[in-house]
Amino acid sequence: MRLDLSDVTATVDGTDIVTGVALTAEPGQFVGLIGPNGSGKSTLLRTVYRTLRPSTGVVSLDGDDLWRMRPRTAALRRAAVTQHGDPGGEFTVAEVVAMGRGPHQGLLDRESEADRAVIAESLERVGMDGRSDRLFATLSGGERQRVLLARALAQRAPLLVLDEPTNHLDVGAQLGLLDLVRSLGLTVVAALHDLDHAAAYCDHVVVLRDGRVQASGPPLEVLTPAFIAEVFGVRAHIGPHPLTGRPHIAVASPA
Amino acid sequence: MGGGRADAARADGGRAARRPHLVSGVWTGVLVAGLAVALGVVCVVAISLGSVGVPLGATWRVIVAHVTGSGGADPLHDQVIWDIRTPRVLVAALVGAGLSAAGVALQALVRNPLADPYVLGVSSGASLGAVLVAALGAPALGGLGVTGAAFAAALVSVLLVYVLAQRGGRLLDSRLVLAGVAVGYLCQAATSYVQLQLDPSELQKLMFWLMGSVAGATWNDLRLPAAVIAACTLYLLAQARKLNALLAGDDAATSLGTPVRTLRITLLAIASLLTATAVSVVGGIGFIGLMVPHAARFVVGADHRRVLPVATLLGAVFLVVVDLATRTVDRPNELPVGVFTTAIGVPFFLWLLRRRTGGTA
Repeated sequence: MRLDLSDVTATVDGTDIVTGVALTAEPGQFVGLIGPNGSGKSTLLRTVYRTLRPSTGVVSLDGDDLWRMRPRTAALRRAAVTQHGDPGGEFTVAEVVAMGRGPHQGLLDRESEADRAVIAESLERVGMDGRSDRLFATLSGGERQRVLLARALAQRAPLLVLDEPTNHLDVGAQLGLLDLVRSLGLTVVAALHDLDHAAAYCDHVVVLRDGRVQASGPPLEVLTPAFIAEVFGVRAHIGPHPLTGRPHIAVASPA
Repeated sequence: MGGGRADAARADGGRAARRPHLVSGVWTGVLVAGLAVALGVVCVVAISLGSVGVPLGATWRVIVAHVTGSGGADPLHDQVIWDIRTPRVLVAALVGAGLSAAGVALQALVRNPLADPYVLGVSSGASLGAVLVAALGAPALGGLGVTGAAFAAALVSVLLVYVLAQRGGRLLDSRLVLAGVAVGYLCQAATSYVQLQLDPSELQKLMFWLMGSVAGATWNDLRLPAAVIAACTLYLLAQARKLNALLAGDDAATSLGTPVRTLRITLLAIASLLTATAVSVVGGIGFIGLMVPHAARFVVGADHRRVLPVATLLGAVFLVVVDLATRTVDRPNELPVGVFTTAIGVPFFLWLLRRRTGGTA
């Protein structure tokens, strides 16, 4: 699934939060959306969830305008792990993941054997199998995030959108989640805060600043120390990671 | 995900309760079937009991005779059973079911466990309409009776709440609740003022309606409201999956394929129509729409695919039982239903609240 945003402007209460953004995710690519707080990452993603209609520009999936699709059709092609996407209350893990089967079910359809199989398989892929009867509210932050990812996987959509999926997770859970997402083989667009994660996991990054694309391209071409200093106002150093040997971005407060 | 982490996670899972809800899995089906049977039983019992006792067997024969169109029932029994008690019990069941379903829907719509069908000012609006008829007389209000005026005023107050709460057609939960509470207070103040102008005898007649009563329901007054309440309830019952999605927030719900904006407006319209109809027929019966959804959640968890059918049936059973109590406890006096729903419901609700373990509200 190829996602294209062309010249997207999104307006909230009369103010343009993102302006003229172009972003393309090729099939199977992991695209990172990065930028300082308030740069418009979440607002831009809301045009892909279909919560905020772009005031100009087009969001398309394989060439079809996402905003002209029926809500259900869109949900068969694009799934998301949003911020604050948990339903709260006394839902069990299986019930939360079952919500992902909604777009596959008719108005009066009950959960079928096939639906249950997809739910179980989605939980297995995120390593939460055998815990389907646990109450969502009793899980740890990392477990909750994996369950919400399983809900998105249960939609069986080829495009996955993630808004800061590693927020509030411990380091092990952060890397575990990103490894998992990377291993799925889906087209992924993820808003990320950690520049080192972006460098390690993304095929392509798009950097937003004040609602406009500041740069885009392969992470190590875009994220130079000078560029990081300009956009984020921190000092940066790129060198081989002492453990993995991959390029590693280290940051420090300005001198 | 490393294998060690997954194993550790699984070992941890073993510590937690295996069944998170009091009732889950196939037992939910048993519970729903049981409630449906219970509803049938309490309806027949409620129809047979009253100031004139009719044996259960005779009651059943009268109902069967009418439903199948055959005759031959005792005429006295026939009148008491079919013309007086059956409509009343049916209204109680329908209103109990409808207010519970509307409560479930509105709690999900505004994502607030304190919401109930009256949160949008419907009940206070209806009361104002009713006292205005009493104060000004029907001609001043275009010939509307108490029921018609209550219904019209309830809809006007909901529209006002909607206009105040929306912004460019988008509904915001918190504003919806605040606007509903504000309009509710406004209507209450107006109602109190008009009540002071009323003749005490007029007021006496109104009091019963204001506190809620299913007495005086007849077949003729009942057909249209009953059909509206039944249709709205069935509509809400079919929205379970969408209500689940709404609880996850607008971003998650839309990415799950839910048309959030139209859904909210439709739910609001249907729940308001249902509540306005119920209030105009039976007055302000509080408590049911708030507590029955929670009682259902305590038993089957939060998933609306189970909460909706269980709450709807539970609400029906509850109001039929309460109505029976109002006319049998202090015979021959009849007590207001609103007093009883609260008197019976609150201790039960508190018991549920205390015995529940873990989880969040």
